[in-house]
Amino acid sequence: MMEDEDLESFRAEVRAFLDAELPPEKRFAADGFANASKELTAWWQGVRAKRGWGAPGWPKQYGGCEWSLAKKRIFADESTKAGAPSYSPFGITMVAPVIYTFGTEEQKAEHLPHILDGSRFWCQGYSEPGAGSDLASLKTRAIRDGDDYIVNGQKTWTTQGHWADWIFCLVRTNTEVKQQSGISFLLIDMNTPGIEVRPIRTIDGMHHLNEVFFTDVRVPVSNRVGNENDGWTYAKFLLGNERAGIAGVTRTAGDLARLREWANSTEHFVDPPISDPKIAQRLDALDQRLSKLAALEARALEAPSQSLEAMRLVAPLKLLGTELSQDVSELALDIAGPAALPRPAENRVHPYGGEGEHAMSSFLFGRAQSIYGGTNEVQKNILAKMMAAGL
Amino acid sequence: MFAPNDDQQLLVDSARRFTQKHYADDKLGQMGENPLNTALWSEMAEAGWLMLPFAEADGGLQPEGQSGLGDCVSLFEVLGEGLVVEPVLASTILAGGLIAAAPASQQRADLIEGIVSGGAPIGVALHEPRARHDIWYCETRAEKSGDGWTLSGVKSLAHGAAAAETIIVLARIEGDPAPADHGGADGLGVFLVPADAQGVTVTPYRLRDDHWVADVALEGVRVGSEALLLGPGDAAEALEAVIDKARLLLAAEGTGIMRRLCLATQQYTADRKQFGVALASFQVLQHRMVDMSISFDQARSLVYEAVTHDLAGNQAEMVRAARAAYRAVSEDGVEVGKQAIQLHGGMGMSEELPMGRALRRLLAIRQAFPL
Repeated sequence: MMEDEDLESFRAEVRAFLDAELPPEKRFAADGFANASKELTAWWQGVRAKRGWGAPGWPKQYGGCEWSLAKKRIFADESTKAGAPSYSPFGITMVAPVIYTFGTEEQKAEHLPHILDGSRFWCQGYSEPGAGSDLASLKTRAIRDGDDYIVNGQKTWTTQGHWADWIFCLVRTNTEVKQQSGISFLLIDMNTPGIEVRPIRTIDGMHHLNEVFFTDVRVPVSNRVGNENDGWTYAKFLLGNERAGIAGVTRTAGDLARLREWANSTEHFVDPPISDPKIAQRLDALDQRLSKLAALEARALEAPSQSLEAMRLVAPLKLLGTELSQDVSELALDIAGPAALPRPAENRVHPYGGEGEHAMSSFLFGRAQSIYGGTNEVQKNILAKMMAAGL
Repeated sequence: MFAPNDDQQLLVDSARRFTQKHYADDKLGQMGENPLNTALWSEMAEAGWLMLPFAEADGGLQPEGQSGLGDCVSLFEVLGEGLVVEPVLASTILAGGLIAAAPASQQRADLIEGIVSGGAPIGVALHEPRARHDIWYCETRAEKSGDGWTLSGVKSLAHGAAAAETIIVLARIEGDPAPADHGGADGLGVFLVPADAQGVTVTPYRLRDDHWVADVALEGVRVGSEALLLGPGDAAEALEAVIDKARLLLAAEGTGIMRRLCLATQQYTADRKQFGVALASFQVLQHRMVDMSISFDQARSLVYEAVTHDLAGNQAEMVRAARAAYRAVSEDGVEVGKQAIQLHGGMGMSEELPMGRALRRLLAIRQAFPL
């Protein structure tokens, strides 16, 4: 009872914060990656950090909130409803936990404050042209030269690589051993000479992704996290840490609620699309899938971190969460109908409003969800192996 | 069951050479930069593509009693494979179909002659904002004035209209669109409107599949009595038939896209190595590709079934099969597009390969005339 009251007052606090700090023109301006801008993302991170809410999951000693699961949910839930800009995950939820868990005091002092206040953007240097699902086969080479490594190679599918000030990279430091045992985890300043970023245009017509080329890039050995050749361990730790947001329950719940509202609209449509039983049934089916996913996520998040139970549930969360999100955006397309078809930002006498075009952008870029972070086929392979091992 | 005959196979082969030359992967990025590629459009006319659906008597290719559906289906499969963006469907099947449905006249002969010879495409303005797919919801009005008509309203997503000199406009002559039945389809008329007539504003824009459309605003546009191509009663019936034919040819186009995606995915997974072996060696991916291929064969079978019924003179069965084919492409075709991207992994997300373009076209097909 006490806890419930506590949570309700927390919710009110969050709402008051959002009301006070988030002006209408900055709401729903960026939804996921689809049309986020660096400026908006950085600004909102700064505002949150000033309030002490920049990093819900970090320990307090590094400026985090150490919120309970319930509080994290409330914050995400209210932020989604208010149309708050989404944060860039590469710093806050990806590299930061690796740095504060395995990094040196110097690395913590150098990076954590800048990640927290939004002044430094990160990107992830994992995938390579020949190493996607088979990440351990990566070839980017780091060769020791005195106090530096000299890095040569290429990373690809680097989301926000054109925004990033720093990149965390998996590089090969030993070619003599088993693939997984020769990898190190480096933090690299994107301004170092020898780094070139080239854009990849994606099927939604946008620029989110990049190729990053390394030619004789000097990286101080002090920028290595943890031990040489233990990088795979940190990468796995990072993936295990991702389970909190991986299912996207809050975001998808927000998307579904808005979709239902939209399907009922007589402002956008002569006949509200929900009056079509096929649309209504699909909405109901998606709601049901969301309920199943939310329950699974709740159980997964309660399992102790790095426990077998937690590890066993990461892959299903990723699988189900990404497929649900993709299917929600596909229904949005069918609700929009022909209004989903125009290319964005074309000048027309009779604009359809952004909803339809946004639905198409989400649908198209959303195809990547079942590819990145280990394809959904690879997730199933991981699960199959765990099951075969009796886990 | 129908299968392309020798002549149709020649058409397919030459069309395929044409698309492989002009719509090669490395050129796809420049496609649709303008509402019409006039050089390619002329070549299409010279190749006879734009005369396929018309009767010999009207200056087309088909001897009396033949619809040419088998020819059209053969061509549209290749247009799909090649991801061709020129308005062949809009001008020859939609506009051409409505014009051919009108009573014979000098005007009709001139219009068909214009289409067949590769003149400016003729646009078709059927949809309206806020009405989604429901073309029978029509607020645009045509009122009798003197000898002619006055048209007012806003049409959206008019296919072929971006580069057109003449636009076919669906407008309401009788009835009120407000009630639940939207005034019924019987009160509608099909009009010919010059794109440069006073009061007409054509705003062209590009769709995600790089096809061009236009919004067409009509403010008290005055046209003569000859502008009424099909009047109440006739218009709805002709339009229904034309749309079913368009559904079939969109289905044929979609099966062409599905075929291309199946072949490209097979090739990519055979070449791409992960975990030391070709991706195609994983059983789960093999089965996925088998499903894609089965979807393609089913869709093509329905398209061919529709042509078979048409050849036998069984229109009701033709329409049933055409609609089933369109639905197969709308549902399974989009699924094939999604799987092609998934199996290409990150590369499928890149505009460097045509996977995304193919999926976007399949989505546009699905939104064109859904059932």
